[in-house]
Amino acid sequence: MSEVLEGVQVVDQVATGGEVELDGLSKKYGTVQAVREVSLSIRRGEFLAILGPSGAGKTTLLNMLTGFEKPTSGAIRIDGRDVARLAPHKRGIGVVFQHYALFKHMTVAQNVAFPLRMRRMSPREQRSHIQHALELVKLEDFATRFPDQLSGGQQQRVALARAIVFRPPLLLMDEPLGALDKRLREHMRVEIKRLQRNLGATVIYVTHDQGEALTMADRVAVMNDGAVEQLGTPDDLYERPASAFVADFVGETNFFQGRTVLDADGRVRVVLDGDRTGHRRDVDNAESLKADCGVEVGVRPEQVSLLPVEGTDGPDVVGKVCEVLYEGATALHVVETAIGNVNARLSLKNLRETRWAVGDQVAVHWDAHAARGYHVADRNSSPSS
Amino acid sequence: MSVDSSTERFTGGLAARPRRRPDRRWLTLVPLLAVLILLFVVPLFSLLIDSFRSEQGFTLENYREQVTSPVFWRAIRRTLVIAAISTGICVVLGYLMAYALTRMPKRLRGVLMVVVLVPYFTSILIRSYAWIAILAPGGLVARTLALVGIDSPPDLVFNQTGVLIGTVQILLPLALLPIYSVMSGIDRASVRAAQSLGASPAVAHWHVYRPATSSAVMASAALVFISSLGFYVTPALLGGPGDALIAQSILVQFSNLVDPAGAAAQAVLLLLIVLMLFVVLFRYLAPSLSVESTGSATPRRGRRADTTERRENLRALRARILDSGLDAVGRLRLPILVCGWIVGAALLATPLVVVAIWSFSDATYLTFPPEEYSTRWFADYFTDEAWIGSTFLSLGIASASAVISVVIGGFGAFGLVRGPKRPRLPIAILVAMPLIVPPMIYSLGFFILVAPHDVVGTNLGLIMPYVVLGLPFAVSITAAALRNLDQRLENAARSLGAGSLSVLRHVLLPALRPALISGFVFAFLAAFDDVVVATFMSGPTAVTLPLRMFQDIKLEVSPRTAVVAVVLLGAGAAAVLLRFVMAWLVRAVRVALSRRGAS
Ligand SMILES: Nc1ncnc2c1ncn2[C@@H]1O[C@H](COP(=O)(O)OP(=O)(O)OP(=O)(O)O)[C@@H](O)[C@H]1O
Ligand SMILES: [Mg+2]
Repeated sequence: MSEVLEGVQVVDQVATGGEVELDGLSKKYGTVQAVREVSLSIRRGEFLAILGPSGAGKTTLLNMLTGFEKPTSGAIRIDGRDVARLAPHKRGIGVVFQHYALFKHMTVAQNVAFPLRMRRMSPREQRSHIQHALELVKLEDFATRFPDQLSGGQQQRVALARAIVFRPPLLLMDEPLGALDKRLREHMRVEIKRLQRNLGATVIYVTHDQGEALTMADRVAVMNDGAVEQLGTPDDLYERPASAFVADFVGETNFFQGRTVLDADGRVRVVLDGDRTGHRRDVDNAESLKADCGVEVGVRPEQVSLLPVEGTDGPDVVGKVCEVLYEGATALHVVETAIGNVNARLSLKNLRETRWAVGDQVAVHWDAHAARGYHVADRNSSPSS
Repeated sequence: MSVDSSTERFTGGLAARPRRRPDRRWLTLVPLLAVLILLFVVPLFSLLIDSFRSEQGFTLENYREQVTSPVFWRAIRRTLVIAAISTGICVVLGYLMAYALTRMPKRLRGVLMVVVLVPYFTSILIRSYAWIAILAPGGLVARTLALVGIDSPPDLVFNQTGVLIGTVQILLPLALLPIYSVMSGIDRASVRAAQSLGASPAVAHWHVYRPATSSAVMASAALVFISSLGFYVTPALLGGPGDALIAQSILVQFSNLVDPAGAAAQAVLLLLIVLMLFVVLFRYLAPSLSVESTGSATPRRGRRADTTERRENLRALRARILDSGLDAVGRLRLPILVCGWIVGAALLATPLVVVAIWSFSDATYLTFPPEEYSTRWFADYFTDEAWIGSTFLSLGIASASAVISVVIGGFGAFGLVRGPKRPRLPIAILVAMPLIVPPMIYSLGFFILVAPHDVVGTNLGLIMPYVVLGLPFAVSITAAALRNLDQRLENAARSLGAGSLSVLRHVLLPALRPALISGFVFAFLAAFDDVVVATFMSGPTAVTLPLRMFQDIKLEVSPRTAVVAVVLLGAGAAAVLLRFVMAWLVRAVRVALSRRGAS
């Protein structure tokens, strides 16, 4: 860390991230409940991604943090201090806006100098800070350009430099990579992550790109319809989605309709609609399910394997391959079965042994721990993407 | 006949493909240029020539006389001072009001826009006249002050104060509207960004929002300043005997002192000032010309960093002082905006309200609010043949000249937008000139040109200059609409075999109808509000309505003009209403017919 900051007079203020606590935060616009009862606590130096479909309330949540919207109810504490009554310019939060919001009539250097000017820093001090910030985003050579003379990615990095130059303990980013092309987006992911580690700042990062959320964040909060559906580490989220919405929004999931039954051994199992074997299936989260209720069972496509029909008995459902989509490292097989269409993503390694063609009869198999059940009522709205 | 023309059109369409026909679209510019040159440029030249004329031939004596006359310089100085002060007030007030408009809820904005727009479309003469009822002894202000025991109110009218108030009221919408249209397109994200970076709201506004509006502010300041240089009606009604502005001075020289050459010299000098200002301010005015933006008014860029340390520190210190000042102002921003709107709305709306009430006064002299109410002045107006005659004369002349303006201007706009690129800017400048050159200068020139012929006092003599005054509106509005119209539409129609006339009838006219209508309205109002041209061109039998009102007010301040104003405003409102009712009726009939067709 001190290596990075060598030669810069700000070593004494090596940023340690702020601690953020949201407590029952809600925002209503007339009758629209944009954010409902969000409670989160974000640790020092943590990278938290907020993931959700369009209209989920992500921007509204950020605006309450920055102070541009007043919460209808609830509290926001930064490092233990309630900031509800603090004006935006006194919060000292770094913000990277969705479309960068650079000052068009100022050069890159003047843009980056702005927060320092506002903090009444002497011009000499400003220079070294600007230099350092521009080095961090690799734009040292662009200081005298105007924003409209820069590419999208460069503009994005100016916005980043401007937001970090005053060492805010908390950095908010609202879909900062939304306007960039795919390659640049992937490159910037790494850059932002590196920056955050160097700065030690707490970052709240809003996105509706699950790839971004999963690769960059320490924890991810999935929002839907104003509420946080699940808060967890990326692997938590992917492997143990708390709701059908999360299972569907983060990665892909096959859903099958069914009902829970209470078995003789006291365990809840699921019978799938249309399943002619009538098998009572185990699911991974059986203990959290109530008996005798409608459920959806979710299984990830890559957890599904296809077996020859001969020699299978027991639980596996039989169906016909109706589509094979080659994806490079994997191939997606769509199988028509009595419980519905099943997507199976098979790796090339598996395929070397047996290749399936359209029209083949197959048995669809998954392990019990790969299946999770969700009560039907839990799913309040389907994601839009 | 129909077979003939359709086969001809058909073969014409086929022939067009292999052999490219020469582009003759520039021909549509010919009537526009002919009218502008013959009826606008030539009069100004004859003015120029007359200013050098004496019995012995060429002379500079006329100029020497004016330039050495302290009266002339005083008029010039008064004009510049009034123009500068009113421009300052209009721009500051317009900026505050426009900004407040962008930040308020939609419904309130709609209401307040009406407060801005109704005066904007109301005649300058009527608005100036209303101020007499407000400011003169026996008027609203004096009577109100008397209620609280102040018996000797300050002199607010028939002096420069009155001129200033009237000028500000008339130019305020002109200052406000262009600023508002730019402001409503500004993305507030950068202001928020500045705030998140530590700038208080006022500081963020100053450093980020204001620079984005600066060229619009300059444009409206330039427009207001240049317009106010030529004001005649307002200072003539609201000024005192010793407060003549330059436009009045020209007229006095011409008619009272019977010195046409001296008047011409004064007019040429004023024209020089106006043209010099136009050149200096061109980069701000260019975007409002009828050509695609030339890019000359891009916001100024921040200065390159100055490297000497001392200067830098000094600048930082200055910025710090500015920012603390802004912080202080920023804390008062809500009261400032509210006050701005209260003052602005009072300025804009009071004259109209006063006129409406005053028209029902029973008195023959000025008392406001009226002591007795009656409709006798209405009866008086409707039974007076001279007044009714003037009303119909003005309606007819303004309609005729507006129609001609729209036809010539419509074709001209087509040539301007679709014709050759090179002459666009010069033509656009020429088209804008009748708006820039004060009407007093133009009218004098036109009068000098046509005086030897028998047109003064005829309808034709009035219609010709009014066509010129209407052209800037007709061309700019149609050109803007044409530029938004996809040219491929015309090309597609042409490739399907449509001749020029069919393209005009089936493609252009329907698409441009709203623009042509609003061009007509503006051109109509330009003619219908005019006093200055009429002063020169009216004869004893052909007195236009504004001129009759103007002379009536100069004679005695009675509610008669208020009655005319109410009648005209009522007619305008009825026309607007009728349009809606007609549209609704047409739709209803169409729905009924389609229902019957379906069943
Ligand atoms: N100023 C406002 N007035 C009324 N409703 C609003 C306002 N701002 C947001 N909303 C509503 O609140 C909800 C959440 O909006 P928000 O902008 O927070 O969504 P988001 O998650 O940021 O979406 P996106 O990914 O599209 O940016 C939406 O239904 C939106 O219509
Ligand atoms: Mg958003």
